[in-house]
Amino acid sequence: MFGNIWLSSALIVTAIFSASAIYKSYSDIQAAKQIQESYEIISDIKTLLAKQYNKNPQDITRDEIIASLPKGGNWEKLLLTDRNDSSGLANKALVNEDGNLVLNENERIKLLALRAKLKNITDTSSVTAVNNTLTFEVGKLEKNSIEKDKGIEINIDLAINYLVDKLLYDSAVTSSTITTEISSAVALYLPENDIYQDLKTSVDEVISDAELLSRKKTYFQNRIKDELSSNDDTIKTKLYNLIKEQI
Amino acid sequence: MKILFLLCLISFTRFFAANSDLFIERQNNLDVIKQIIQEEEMVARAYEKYIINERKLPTIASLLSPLYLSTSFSLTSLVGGTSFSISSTKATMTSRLLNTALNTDANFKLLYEGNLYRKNTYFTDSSTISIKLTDPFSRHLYYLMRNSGATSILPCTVLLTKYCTENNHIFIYDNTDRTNLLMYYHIDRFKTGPIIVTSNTSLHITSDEYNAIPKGALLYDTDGIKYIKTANSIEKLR
Repeated sequence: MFGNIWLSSALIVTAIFSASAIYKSYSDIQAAKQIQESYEIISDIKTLLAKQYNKNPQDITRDEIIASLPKGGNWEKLLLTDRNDSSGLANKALVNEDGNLVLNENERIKLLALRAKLKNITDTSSVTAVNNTLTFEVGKLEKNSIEKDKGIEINIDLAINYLVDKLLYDSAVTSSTITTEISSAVALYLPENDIYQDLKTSVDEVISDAELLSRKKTYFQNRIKDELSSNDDTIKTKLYNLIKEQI
Repeated sequence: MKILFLLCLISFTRFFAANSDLFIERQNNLDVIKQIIQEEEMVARAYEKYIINERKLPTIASLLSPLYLSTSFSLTSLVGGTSFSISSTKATMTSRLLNTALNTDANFKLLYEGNLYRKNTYFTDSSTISIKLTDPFSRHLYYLMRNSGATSILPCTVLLTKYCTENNHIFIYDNTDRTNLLMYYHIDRFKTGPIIVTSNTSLHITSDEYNAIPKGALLYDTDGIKYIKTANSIEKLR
């Protein structure tokens, strides 16, 4: 009788232990699959939005993703590290505000699953933990040069609107104001990532980032000047006449 | 004992109830921002149409007519926001996010101020959204109005205006006393000409009004001499 109790207790404990181990491995596999699925869908959404709005996929923010998701249903689960009922953006966000994937370095199964998914897309070995959190960029597809040209044209237009607002209808505008406002317009609207020309003077030239930025600003300013001088629009013609000495 | 245990378990799980509120609230707020930007875009398009048709700067009241925004058009108002208005002197409107709860969130501000959902408007400063005029004729009329400080181009029978309109032509004088008629042109020809200009060639050089004529426009003076507008001057054509 005493032996029976011992045997049955041992059997029960073993059964409980095995059941929980099986359940743990099942939930780990589920978690890994869900992370990979989430990455896939988020990457697709970002690429779609990037095409629609002519932005780089990695610049699409979490809010822009949320604004494009359908109402109702469980779309929030896409942005979370797990799909439990108690999880929400406040405590279990997989996607941070910038639209990048974030995982705590202790979530080993999920990290493994994500790295496996990203193996052929991007190099994840350089990603290091900051405050126990690893951040992975989503959507590293490049915009092609046609869309970058469009991005530059939009910004030239915005810079011109800025100069018109500040200078055109003010009869007291001075030469130094014009120079200042031209610099401000270039600084505010420079589409740094869209200027794909390398702006080197020779193939072997090596230039610092600061020098490249300075050349991009000059390039952008010249593009604005071209747009103003070659245009047959009244406002642009008048603006060019006003600022042609300084631009 | 069992019942007590069960009750504890249930209340325990309720404690960690579904946490979707943040997501739903965020999505709703983003929808509101999209909605107000959409309304601003509609106002901007109506504004431009009004300038072309009426040759005047519109007010929001004048836009709420069947030809422009329709009488039933209404603007979503946000708690704490300033009431919507269009400037009486230039193509700007009040920012609707300013002073609202949404304005305190950096990401909502970024979305409202950015150009993701904007085509006919653009952010100028924290209290102003500007209208982007795209039609060349509306831009020309707008320029004339802003340059003379007027809010409309009146018929020439109304005196003391620098610019006036008659018979589908626009007349440009050098000042409000109309000392010299500098040029006039048909509204369809404001870009390419022929634009009729004064035969007083010294005014061609001294008057600022000629600097707004686009490059390549054909000009005739009142003696029939042909000129062309270049980037920097008016050149006689042989």
